[in-house]
Amino acid sequence: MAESVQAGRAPGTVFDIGYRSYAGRREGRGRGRIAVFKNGVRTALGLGRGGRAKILPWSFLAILTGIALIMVLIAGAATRFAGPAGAAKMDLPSHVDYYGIASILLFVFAALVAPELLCRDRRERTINLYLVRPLTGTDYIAARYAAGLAVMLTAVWLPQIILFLGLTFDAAEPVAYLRANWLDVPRFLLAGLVLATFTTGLALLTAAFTDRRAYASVFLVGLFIITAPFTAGLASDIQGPAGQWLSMFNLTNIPMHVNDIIFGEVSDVTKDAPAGKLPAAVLVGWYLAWTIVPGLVLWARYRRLSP
Amino acid sequence: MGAEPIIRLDGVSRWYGSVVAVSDVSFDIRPGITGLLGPNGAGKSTLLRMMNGLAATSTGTITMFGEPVRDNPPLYRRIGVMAEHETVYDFMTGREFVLMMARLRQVARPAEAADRAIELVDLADAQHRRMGTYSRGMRQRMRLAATLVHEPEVLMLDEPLNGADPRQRVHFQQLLHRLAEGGTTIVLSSHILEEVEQLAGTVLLIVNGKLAASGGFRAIRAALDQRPYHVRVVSDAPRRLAAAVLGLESVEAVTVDPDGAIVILSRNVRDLQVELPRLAQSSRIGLRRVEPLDDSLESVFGYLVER
Amino acid sequence: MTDTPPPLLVAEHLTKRYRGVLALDDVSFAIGEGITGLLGENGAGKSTAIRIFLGLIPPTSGTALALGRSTSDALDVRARLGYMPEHDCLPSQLSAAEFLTHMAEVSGLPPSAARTRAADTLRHTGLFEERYRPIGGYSTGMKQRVKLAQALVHDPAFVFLDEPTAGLDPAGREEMLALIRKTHRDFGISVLMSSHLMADVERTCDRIVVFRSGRLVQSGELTTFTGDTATVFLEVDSNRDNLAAALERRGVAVSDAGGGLTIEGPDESVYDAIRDALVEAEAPLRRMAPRRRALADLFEATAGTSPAGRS
Repeated sequence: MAESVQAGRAPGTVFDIGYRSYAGRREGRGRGRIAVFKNGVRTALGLGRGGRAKILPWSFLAILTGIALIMVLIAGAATRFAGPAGAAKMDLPSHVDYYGIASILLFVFAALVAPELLCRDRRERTINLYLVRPLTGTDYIAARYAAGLAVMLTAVWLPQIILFLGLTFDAAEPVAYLRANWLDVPRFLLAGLVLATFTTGLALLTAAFTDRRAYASVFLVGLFIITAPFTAGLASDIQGPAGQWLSMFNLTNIPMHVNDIIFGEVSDVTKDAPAGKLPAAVLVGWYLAWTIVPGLVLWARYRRLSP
Repeated sequence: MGAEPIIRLDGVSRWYGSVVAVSDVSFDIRPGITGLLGPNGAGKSTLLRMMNGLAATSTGTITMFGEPVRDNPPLYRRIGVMAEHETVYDFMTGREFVLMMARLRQVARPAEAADRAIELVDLADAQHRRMGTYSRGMRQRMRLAATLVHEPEVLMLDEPLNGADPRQRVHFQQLLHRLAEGGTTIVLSSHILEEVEQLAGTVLLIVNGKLAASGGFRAIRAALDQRPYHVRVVSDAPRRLAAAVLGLESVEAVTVDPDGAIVILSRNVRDLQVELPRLAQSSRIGLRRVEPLDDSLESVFGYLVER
Repeated sequence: MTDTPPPLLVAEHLTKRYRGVLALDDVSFAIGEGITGLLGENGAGKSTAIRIFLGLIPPTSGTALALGRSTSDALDVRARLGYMPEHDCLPSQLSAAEFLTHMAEVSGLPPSAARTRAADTLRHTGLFEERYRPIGGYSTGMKQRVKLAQALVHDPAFVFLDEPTAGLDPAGREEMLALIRKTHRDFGISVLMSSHLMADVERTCDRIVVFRSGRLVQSGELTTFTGDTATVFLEVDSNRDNLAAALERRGVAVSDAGGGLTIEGPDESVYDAIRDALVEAEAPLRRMAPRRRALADLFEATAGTSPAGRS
């Protein structure tokens, strides 16, 4: 009884929820770059953007991982039925082959992700809101590149890690397997990096030249998927150095040749390519050209962007 | 005074599924400038599209010059329409664009018609430049020239002054007046009510798909004698006047401004208008300023939208 | 002598030439605290000036200072400046809440501060439940609010607004102008507002700056350009002729004007005569006020006719 009488007389406070100035830290360009990076990763994976935006990227990640899982299962089944020796003789697909098998999917994945990172902001003219903030065009494109690369690396490394773990635990002697094959890890990580940077650079470069995501995606798919059999076909018909150089323009193989060098064995995808006969220095140099030049052009295009 | 209406709407409704965009609208449009007003989403654009035959009505009829507007190609030659958003072809010069429209409209002598139309909008100097180099206001004017090139008898303009600067606005108003004097029937949809007030003899106010008011603006205003009416009065004895004014039947409330003016709220405009000077005279108070605060088209509009 | 605070934007002999066009020609002015209207025809140099202040393009010659810093080394000054473009610029996929948080971070705020400020700014600009829905589904009015919010979220000292009421219906326009007044009055942020609608400028701005063909042609307090003339305008709903006669009888010279009567340069004594004439003629008084100069008078068309002055 005493309480309810007191309730009305209890001291009360009115809080000021009006506008407050911001007196906290301002972290400059670094924070801006991180923000653009985070936003890039979220955009590419469709996070926070509704269900529809997630379908494509996550389906691809699921399929890419699924392929690795299937390879694990096959290896496991082979070991079970044929024993470790028999399984080894079967020449089952392993890390080096994974990229060959998954490469088309990876290229299409890049064709879907890269336009999301660059085209939307230009089409919807949101880019202008970035440019009036303490962020340069270089900061923006570097952060977007990093985001694209991060997503691609996830797509290339995650399945390989799963494959490695699967093969390790499938083996009769996991520790022995590990000791014998631990070099595979740095190899596939490096090979993955080779593939991811190549794909990210070219895909973003294409996306930098059109405002429409669909055009960029279609162009990239055409570039990667259609030119491949075309150049491969021509190259196999033409003999000698001309054929080899023509085969160099099979874009899908450019990173694959480098991967062959890394793994020290030729994968199924590249074994028929005449370009494979060229010296390693040429193949690596060619790869670097196709990875670094797009990056530079991309930078040049965004450096001087002005609303 | 019994001129035939140029456009007649009779019981027009339009729905999209369960969304009723226009509900039982009937009115006549006569030569001269008619303003079509209403909040965003009220149904004005739908109405305009039905009036120029682009969309069908769900029920009701629309006739122009006595003929139905729908599916009536010969009639379209007599109508000029300028929609709110339209992309123009940046690579064309202004003249090319107007000429193209003239030809599409099958104008007898397209080059001369284009000259006349470009002259009307005062863009003869810029006609040979590509439209991509035009400012927003210039693009709008060139679009207007293209709308006028076939000398339509009926003009329908949806927010034609988007992006126009003050000089262009005045010029445009003069142009519309000239066209109206020459017998063109103009229907003008705009949000800038102070301009519509100066331009349009008749207005049509659409709220939630229904016709809320039509006719001469002053007559509409007078017809709303039940709406609250605020008058600001500056006098040489504000408080004495306020006290005296409270004695009037027609006065509901009086507010005193910090700067010494009083604001009278009344629901009986006519009585207040006569009684105020009388009261001031008998109280020997000098009136310096009497200003209605709800007289503008904007205020009448706001009242009708809220109702 | 009271200390006036230093101006927020300063231009000194600012010139910008590009592609052979002289966009700005030796322009000098200072903009201080308050709401300033930026007027001028399309192509007069307004957006060029704004871009220079934002540090987006360098001047050809002369200096521009924003918040006391030269705009050429101005990258971090942008953390204290806000910009609301005229054109569409919002991402359709993101919600206003996520977008605003992101923009705050891009302006340098740490993530948790960014989130809080985004929420507060959305509240202050009148966006409530809709903030969690994708921006693509918003009405024009809501989108304009988001555009304004992103300009304010990082607590700038100064914002540039480009045609802030474009596309808004009359109610939306009034709300946006009220928000702009609130931005200065309640948030303490000064504003430079570029607009073609004189009524908007008259209702909102304290000062104006007028450009023409790359030069500064007018600047000053708004009241210098608007304000009463010496002509009184009388509008009555009936008995106008009786009123005119009653006024003449009292020795007041009247002329006919559109919709009413005008009396030139009255002195104090004439007001009583007007009042008495009104009573005598039983003329219902709608309006009695001096004719005002309108901002639009600054922009008379070359065709010669000036728009009717407002009473």
